[in-house]
Formats: sequence, C-alpha cells, structure tokens
Amino acid sequence: MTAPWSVLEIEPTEDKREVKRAYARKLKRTRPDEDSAAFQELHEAYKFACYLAENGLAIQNDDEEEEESLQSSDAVTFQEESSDDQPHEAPEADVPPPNFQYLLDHMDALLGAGQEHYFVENWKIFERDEHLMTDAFRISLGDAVFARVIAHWKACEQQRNEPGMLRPAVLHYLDSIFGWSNRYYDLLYGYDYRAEDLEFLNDLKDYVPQRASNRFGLKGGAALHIEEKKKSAAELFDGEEESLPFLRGLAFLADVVLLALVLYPLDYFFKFSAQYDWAFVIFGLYLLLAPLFEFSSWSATPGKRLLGLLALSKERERLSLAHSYFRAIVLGAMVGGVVYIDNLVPFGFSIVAVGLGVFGVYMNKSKGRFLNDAASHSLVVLARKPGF
Amino acid sequence: MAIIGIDLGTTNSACGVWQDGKARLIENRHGELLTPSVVGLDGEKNVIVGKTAKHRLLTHPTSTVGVFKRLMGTKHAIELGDRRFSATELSAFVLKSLKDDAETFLSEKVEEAIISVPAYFNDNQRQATKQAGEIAGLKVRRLINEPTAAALAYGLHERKEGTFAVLDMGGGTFDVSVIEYFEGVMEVHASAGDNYLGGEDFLEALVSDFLAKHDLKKEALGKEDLQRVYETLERVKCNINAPWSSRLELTLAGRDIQFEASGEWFKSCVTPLLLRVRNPIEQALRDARIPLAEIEEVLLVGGATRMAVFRNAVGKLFGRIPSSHLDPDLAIAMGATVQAGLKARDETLDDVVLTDVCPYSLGTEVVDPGGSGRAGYFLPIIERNSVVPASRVETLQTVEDNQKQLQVNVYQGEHRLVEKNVFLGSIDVKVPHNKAGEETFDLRFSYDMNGLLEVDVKINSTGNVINHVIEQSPGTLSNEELEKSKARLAALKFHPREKEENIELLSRGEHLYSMYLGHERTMLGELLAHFESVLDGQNGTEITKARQQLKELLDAMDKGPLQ
Repeated sequence: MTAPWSVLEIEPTEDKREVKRAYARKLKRTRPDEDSAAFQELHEAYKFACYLAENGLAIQNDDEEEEESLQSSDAVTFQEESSDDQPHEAPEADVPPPNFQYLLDHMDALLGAGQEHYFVENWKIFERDEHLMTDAFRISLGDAVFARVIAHWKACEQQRNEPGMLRPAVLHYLDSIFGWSNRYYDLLYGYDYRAEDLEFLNDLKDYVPQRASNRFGLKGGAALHIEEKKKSAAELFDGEEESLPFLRGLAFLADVVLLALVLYPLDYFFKFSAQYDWAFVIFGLYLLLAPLFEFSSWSATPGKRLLGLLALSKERERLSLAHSYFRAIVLGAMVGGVVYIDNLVPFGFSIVAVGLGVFGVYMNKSKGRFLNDAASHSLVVLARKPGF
Repeated sequence: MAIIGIDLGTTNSACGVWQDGKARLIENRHGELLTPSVVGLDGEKNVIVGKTAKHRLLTHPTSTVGVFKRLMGTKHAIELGDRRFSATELSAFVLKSLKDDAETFLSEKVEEAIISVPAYFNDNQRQATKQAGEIAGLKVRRLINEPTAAALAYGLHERKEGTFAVLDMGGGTFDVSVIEYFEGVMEVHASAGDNYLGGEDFLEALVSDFLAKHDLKKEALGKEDLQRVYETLERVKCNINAPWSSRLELTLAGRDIQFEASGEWFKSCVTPLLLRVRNPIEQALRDARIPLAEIEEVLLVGGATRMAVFRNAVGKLFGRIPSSHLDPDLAIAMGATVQAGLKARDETLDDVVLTDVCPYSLGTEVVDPGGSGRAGYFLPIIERNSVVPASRVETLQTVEDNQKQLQVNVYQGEHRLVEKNVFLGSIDVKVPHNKAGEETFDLRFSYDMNGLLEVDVKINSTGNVINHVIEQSPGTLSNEELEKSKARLAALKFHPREKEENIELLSRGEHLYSMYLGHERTMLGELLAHFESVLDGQNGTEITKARQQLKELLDAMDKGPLQ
C-alpha cells in the first residue's frame, strides 16, 4: 500500500464514503489541536485520496479501465453541468431580457456632463431597476457598463483628462452591484480587454468607502476621536491647531503668574528678591518644577493643563522623568545662551531680536513645533479638552 | 472548572455552558438569554452593561455606546462622558458582565472561555478579542468562527450529515462558510465575508434615506433626535416582515414629520446591500470547490437574516428555500458552548472533531518577480481557506550581492501589493555574505488553531534556524498596555447585581418618559420620582412592591403603537 492509502489505513478504493469514514476514524485519534504535524499529513492524504476517488484514479489495474472510468466520469460531470444550466436558461428563453438601454443612456449622459459622475448618488438609478436581481440581466448590463467604463477611461487617458476619470467611490459602487471583480476571468477572456485594463478591479476589492468611517460609533452618539499614530511629529500639526504657538505662550504666562503668586508671600519672609533677579528666580523655578508636572499623569504644567496642552515625547508617549528634565535643560540652555551672548555684545536687545527671528522662521517651517522641542525630541500637542 | 462559550456580538451577546451532555445557555441578571452589547457610564462612574445601558442610549447618548465591535483591533478611542475607552476595553465590560452571570449560575469561578468571532475577522481583530477576554479575567482557550459555531450547533442538534452553506448576518458582519458534516467530523471547507455588512448597515441605509427624503442633515440634528430616528426605524426594520406598512410620527428639529414606511420603500433602500451578499457567497463556494448543486442545506443565523427580503435574495441565489431550524440569535452561542465542551474533552462529545480554515492568506513581502528590483509584492505562503493548523514552506533567495541581512515582513490579505494588506510583523535575519541569489533560505509559516502565526527562517548554507512568533501587531495592546488597562478598568465599579434591576427599571422609565407626551408623561414622571424616593428609603419590602407596580406599568406602555 502506498500513500495516501497507507496513511488512511485502507485499501485503495473509489468509494468516497469509504475514504471519508477512514478519515473520520483516524481523525479521532489525531486531533488537530494535539498533534499538528500528524493532522496535516492525514488531511493531505485525505484530500489526495478524495481527488483520486473522484477522478477514478484510485485503482490502477488496467489502462483501458482507467480511461473508461475517466470518460464516464467526464460524461457524468458534463451531464450534471448541462442539467445545471437548464433551469437557468429556460426562463431566459421564454422572457427576453428586459431592456436596459435607458440605463446606458443615463450613463452616457452622466459621463458627458462634466463632474456629475463624481457623485455616487447620480449612479443610484442602476439599483432601482427591479430586474437587477436576475442573473442574466445583471451580467449583460454589467458587461455593457464595464465596456463603457473602459472606453471612457481610455479616452480620458488619451486626452490627458485626469479630472474626467471615474472616481474610485463610483467604481466601487458599480463593482458592488455588478460583481466585476468576481468575474475577472470572464471579462478578461470573454472580451478583448488587456490585463492592464482590468488591473483596477484588484484595487477596488480593498477599497473602503469613506462613508464607513463616519458611521462608527454613531449609534451610541458618543463623539469619536481618531487617534492614529502618525509617523513624523511635523505631520501632527498639519491643520491641527493654527493657534498653538499662541496657546503655548498663554500657558507659559499662566505658569509664571502662578509661580509669582506662590513666591510673593514667601518673599515677604525670606526677602530673596533683594539678592536675586525676580525673572531669574521664577524662570529657574519653572525649569525645576515644570518637568515634574510634565512627567506626572497630567503630562502638562498647570498652565498647559488649563489650556488642554500635553507635553509628550516625539513618539506621542508620556515623558519619562529624565526626558522631561532633558527638555527643561534644553530650554534653559537656549534661553541662557541667548541672554549670555546678549550680555557679551553691546547692542542692547538686538541679539534677542535675532534669536526671536530665527525662532519665528523655524516655527513657521515646523508648523508650530518650537526649536527646543525639536532639540529635546519632544512635542506639545493640543490633545484634550481645556480645563482641569 | 467549567469553560463557558461566549457569542460576543455587535448588537447582542450571549453565553452558555456544556452541562450533562448538552449546551445550556445562561440567563443574565434580567432573566434573559441575550445581553445587548451596549456599555455606559453613570454619574458615579459605575459601568452599566446590557439592557439597562441600551435604555440609556436615548436618555444619555454621550455616556453610552453600542456597535463598538466594528472598531475592534483599531486605535479608535471612544468617549464615554469624559473618559476614553478602546473597543477592546468596552468589549471587556460586556465579557465581564457575562462572566458574572455565568458565575452566579454555576456558583463557581469561571476563568476560561471560548469566544466566537466573525470568520472574516483578521488577525488584529482576533488578537483584540482575546485581549478583551484577558482584561475581563477570562483565559480565552480558543476563538471559534461564528458560522462554524452555528454549524456545530446545527450538526450536533439534528445529527444530519451533508454539506451546508451557513450564512451569518449579524449586527455588523456578514460571513459565509461552506461546511461538511460526516461521521462526527465537522469540516469547514471555506469561509468568506464582508466585515461591513450587517443589520446596522441596513438601519443606516434606512436612516440616510429617511433623512434625505425630509431634507434633514445628520449633522444638523441633535444627538437625541438622531437617536430617536434610529430607534423608530429600528422598530420599522424589525417589523418589516408584516404585510402592512407602518406609520411614523416624529418631531424632529421642531418639525412634525409623518411618514409611511412601506415594504417597497424598505426594499428600495436595502437593495444595494442585498447585492453585496452575493460576492462572499460566490467566493466561499469557489474556494471550497463545491458546486452549488452539492449544497444540501442553507442555514441562516444572525438576527438580520430574519428579514424577508434577505431570505428571498438568498433563496434566489441558491435556488432553494433556506432552512430555519436554528434560532438565529442563539445558534452561535450554542455552538461556542459546544466548542467549550469539546475543549474540555467532555466524553459525550468524544466522537466529534472540528477542523477549521484560516480565512485570509498569509504571506511575505518579496521583490518584483519581473526583475525590476522593486519591493512591495505579496507572496502568499499559507493561502486562504487552508485547513488549520497549517504549515507551509517557501524557498527564497537574496537579491543583492553581499547582502547582510533579510527583512521578512509578514502580511495578511489577498492583494498583490503588500501595502494593501494588513501588516502583522517583521523579522530581521543575518545572512552570510555571498553573491545575489546564491544564498537561499526556507521560510516556513505555521498557523495554529488559536490563530498564532509562527515564522521560521532557515538559512540553507549554515543550517541556522531563526524562530519567531508573531504576536504584537498594530492595533493590539502590548503586555504592558494590557496590564495598564486592566488596572484602569479595575478602578471602575459595576453595579451590584441586586441593584441592577432597579436601575434598569429607572432607565427604562426615563426612556419611555422621553417617548410619551402629555398626561401619560406626567404620570410616569410622578411614578418614577416616587420609585426613587422608595429606593432612598431602603425598605426591602416596599421596594419590591413599588418595583412590581412600576414594572407592570412600564410593560404596558412599552408595547407602543406599532405592535
């Protein structure tokens, strides 16, 4: 005995039931979740044995017999097929296919009329035809529409008229009615299209209508936010929040005011304003305290929290303590550097002005991301509702 | 310890347990077998699940949500009040509630479960479902495909052999499986489906058409108005099989609208959706290589298959009347329960074996075979509808001189280009320096019954084997995130079971309050206020009495004008 029969532990047979019985018997001893390799071997043997039995190849005693059985099995399948087709064709012969010329005329009108064909709504006339549920009608109409789609596409391509081309949404809709992508080979061999012409059908299969995403969560009525991880930080600000630099300024101001409010009564007792510059003390304290807040579950200083801003790492994740201090040190170094240079050269505030200019240009290019954010691999986003 | 079988549906969920040689479905705290998959938060940040939450959809639209199964495996965050949850976490709430019911029913701890998923769920969505189970404190022993579960329930119940087509149209998804049952073997030949076609889409089609007919815009309507439209049309949808048409009266955005919802109108709205049913059926039959004539029976499961238009369309496609032996709502839960019994190796099920298929192709990214040198082409290794566990190997080679390493990117899908498929993970492998094409390696994919994909790379010149299990994929949680979300959800409380019924009554009353007008409304308002004061009094017997009274009234009012 050879494979597959040895695996199934039966004599070669043309009786499919026999094969199945043997398979079932063995399967109960080699369960798919227990011995994966043995199961796969068994299943392959079973499939192969079924194939041999179906095609009369199981018993190879005599060439003639084999041929005969092949022929007879062919004849059987042929008969089956023809008998299969009959009920389909019979009603067709009696009732002539309903006329769909009006639909094709509608389509031609749409294609001729500028941008009308962009909108799926304008195509809905197709689905209103009651005959669409019958196969013959749908297929012949579908093929006629397909021919027009291809012709239109070719014409647009020749005239380099890209705006005139049919939209994916429309094509997807038509495909969902006519099932072109399921009839790929019928279309390819039944007509003289080239394979490139039919390429777009493959893309349609994976087309997800835009409507689908708007619909999510609607039933609950809950507002839904799409929070996809975007690849680079710069993209985050694409149209996300125009007034972000302004908001950040406000947040900083709020923090400074808060610090001042805390410091002022303390100053009454300790009098340190006599020794140090006020601005220096407040900015130093800000650098010392802000990272603690940004590291906390708030991910924001009180000012940022108030305005709905979050300080995050470049990967949009919460900052670690070290990272948030690194952020503060970078900010301190930058401000300190500008002030230091400013003190060296005797031109008053001009260096600060140049610094601000560079900063402004950078901010414009980075769409709201500050220079110190970039240097410390972090960013600030408007990601929650303002307020505590 | 018992393993429970769970049907985690888009609109309704159910669970059961294998007991004394048969599948027994478990009643929830309201004495019902179906628990609506709706989750809400109340003012005190308690989680509300099921029927109670469903009533609150209308009264508290911002803190209640349904239909989140469709978002499984994505990063979408859903806002409930001022908190945000992922679909995985919301599903975990539903699972937790089912688990509690099962524990009460069995009076023992339940820690293991079989959960059903649509056959056409991809790997990310399956992972997310498993994680939802873990968050709810359930070890998911197996995910079973919904049509397979239905066939299992049917095959074992009727003890009938043959080849069936199972069509499962639930709230959100449409699945087709071609299944053969013989000699105790349940063999799935092929599965196909559409993840965006279900009862909710039919409803959506009705709503869009209704609003368009009355020149209303979704954005312009308030959440409550919109919810009312959904609810009214949902009722129309459920009663559409009746031969008469129903009359709707609604007040929307200050306008009184009257509308005659006839069968023809319904049909014209849903025809494009019915046409989409055809493609998956064709695909499944083609992949199974079984001619239409050999299909002995067409089984329908899922609530949406009750619609007469759907039955007619399917009848036309298959040329026979679909059978309706199964309860479309409960068949999947029954099947999942049978699978739970199988998993526990219950001796009453000793002669039953189930083999399933993977619904998508799994493969890797390769360089253009035409010789242009561009990457991004998909090479399927395990083809869709191969029986699982499956293990296939493909020999590949390097493409550049002195190539140092290989990057094996693993994808799932059917498209020729990898960018259109779902990315599952990648492995980097060092290879010895050599001329292009001289180094060959065997890439083996092994896909097991739990949906775990293992990738082995064997460098043929050195014999080194690198083994990698693809677990982490985008859209699912890492272990750390999983722990975090467990902790986060543990902080939220569920209502104690004994209070649940009171809250359910109250929210049902509020819901009715918003539907009725005039005298009935005032009366209802008084009664609800009275009930609340009784609840505050905490006198057990009085509460029971008031509850009974309120319940009777609500039942009477709930019938509505359409029945």
